Amino acid sequence: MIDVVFLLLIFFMLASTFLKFSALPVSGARGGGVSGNLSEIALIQLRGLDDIRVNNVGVRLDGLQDRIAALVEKGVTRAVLQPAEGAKVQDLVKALEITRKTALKSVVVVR
Amino acid sequence: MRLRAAQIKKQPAENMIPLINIVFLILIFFLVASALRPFGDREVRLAEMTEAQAPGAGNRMAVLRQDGSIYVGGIRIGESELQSQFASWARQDGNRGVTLVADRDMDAAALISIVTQANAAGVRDVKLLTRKAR
Repeated sequence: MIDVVFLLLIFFMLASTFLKFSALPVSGARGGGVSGNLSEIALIQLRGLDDIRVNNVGVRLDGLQDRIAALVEKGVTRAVLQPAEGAKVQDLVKALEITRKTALKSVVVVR
Repeated sequence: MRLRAAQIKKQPAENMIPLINIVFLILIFFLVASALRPFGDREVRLAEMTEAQAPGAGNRMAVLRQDGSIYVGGIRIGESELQSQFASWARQDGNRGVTLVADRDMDAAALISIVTQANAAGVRDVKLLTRKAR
């Protein structure tokens, strides 16, 4: 009895975690023409967390949400997120997390 | 002369009940307070988010390590095999998602290349596994 309980305990200690996980949807670009107006699309270039360019205007990570909100007011509904060489997955996740808090309908990642 | 009968003292049986109680308590604590790891690769450090939502169970997973190596079901595969795997998953059920378990220091462009491959193969729902920041 105690042997089995010990085995169960060791299994749960090794196989379990106290971390909280999340799954972030990531949409890649599909082939084909652009539908809709180009002025509805914002281009976010990601070089690092302190070097982000939205429609070629430099912003820092903490100003990204406000910059996108200003563009949404001007009629932007979608965004294309393009990480530059050297950008890491963590940078991409931070940027995607912020764009999800805005009123953008979709964010597509491209190389 | 009378010899004294050898006295064999019986050791009292060790009481195992308190030990079992403690072990049960620890087991119940792990069952209630923790969750099973969604993936087994301890080499991968996930990207952090400030929010956490349940990632959902039963998704197909591909593990992408920082050095660019790809693992599906614990077996190392190449990029062309991953493409075939995506196509196979899409044929089986295109609506079921694929979760990418990518290292946070992996090159973002390489990840996007894999996401694009998955979409091109017919997998519509691609998700990236992250963890809540401490």
